[in-house]
Amino acid sequence: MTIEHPSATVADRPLLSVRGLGKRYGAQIGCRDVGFDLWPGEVLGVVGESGSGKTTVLDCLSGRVAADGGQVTYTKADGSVVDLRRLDEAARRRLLRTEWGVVHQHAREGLRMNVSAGANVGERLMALGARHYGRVRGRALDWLARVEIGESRIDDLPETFSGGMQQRLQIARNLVTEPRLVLMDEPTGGLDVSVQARLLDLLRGLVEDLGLSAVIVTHDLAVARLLAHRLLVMRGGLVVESGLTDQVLDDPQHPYAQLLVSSVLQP
Amino acid sequence: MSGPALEVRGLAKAFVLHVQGGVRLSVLDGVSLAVQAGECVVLADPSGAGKSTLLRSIYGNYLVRDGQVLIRHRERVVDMVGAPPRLMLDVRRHTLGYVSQFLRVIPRVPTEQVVAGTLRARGVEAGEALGRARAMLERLRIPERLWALSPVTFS
Repeated sequence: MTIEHPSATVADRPLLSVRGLGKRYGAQIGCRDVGFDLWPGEVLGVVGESGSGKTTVLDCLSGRVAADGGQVTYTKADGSVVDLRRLDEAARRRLLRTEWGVVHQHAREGLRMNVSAGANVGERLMALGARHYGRVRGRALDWLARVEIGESRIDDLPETFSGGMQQRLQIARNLVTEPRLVLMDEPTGGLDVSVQARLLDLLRGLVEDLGLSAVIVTHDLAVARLLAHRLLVMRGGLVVESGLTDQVLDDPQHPYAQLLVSSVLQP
Repeated sequence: MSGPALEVRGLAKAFVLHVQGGVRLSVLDGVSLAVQAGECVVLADPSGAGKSTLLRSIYGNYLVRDGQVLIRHRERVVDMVGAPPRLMLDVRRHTLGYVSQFLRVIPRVPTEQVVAGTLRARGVEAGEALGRARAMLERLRIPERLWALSPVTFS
């Protein structure tokens, strides 16, 4: 009998491959020696307390913060592989606009506050070449409805929205172009519980329908359980544990992971 | 292809509770078991004997380091112990199901969509997945008027 550990059964190359990623802020370690592979259709959760380095990892991936060391390779839609740390600024921006979405923890950072909600959503479509005003507006309306923002608000400025609505608008703005990879920093933070459930369902549906891949930073283990296939547990800038989400949550190995899981009510 | 659908060899599982002074609990030691295709096996033991731990260890919900969990998957045999997460997910998606005492679902999602979700994760088109989900709910005699409700409202 042959026993196999075939590492690849569907796609043969990860969408995103990270090795030895590190970032220091002076004497302070942001993150150190972070490595993982993200496969198409996979959602990776990054959990840990504040200051553990979760957001630093995400910022290094999006290029918002320049990493000090390591390698981040991405397989583009056309099949070519790029090293993100060696990409020039223009090429990186093009990639972010066409194949990636980035949802920031604070919605204001991901929105254009001086244009309407509809324009915020339509902008990315137009950046990809959509020109027909009616169609762009139609898609914008559709996405606003999917994140439960009423049609009557399409011409309002994000400034007039509540924090939770701004966050939903930011998500609509990012997902309207159906990106291949979405980076999300606490996407459900500060949302009403009812909207959070709707958003979780929406995200899971997109993963299933579009084969969307995502890296989601969250401190909420219940959100991680429902959305992520795999988890990284971070502490002090290091990944202290990784594995299947339910395994990490139900049988954590590292002392810190055990503490984290045992400290919350019903993850 | 012959051979058992599932074979467990020399499985051991212990828990080290770091939060509680590093206590080590050995629950399973040297467990072996073979299940043939079409066979139904009952684990009958007093409470606390390790039945659930064995099931969870087979599914990969508990991390196992000692022993083998061999599963016939896509025309070959896969050892779940030490398998890469991606392969374990593929086994779970296509070969190995798990019915637990607790159902964890996204709130407000209709029952029929919860059931269809597992098919959609396999790449089945939404309409067909929903049709098959409804057929299964009917077979399990869950009244149709409940299909559009979230299962958290169920008994």
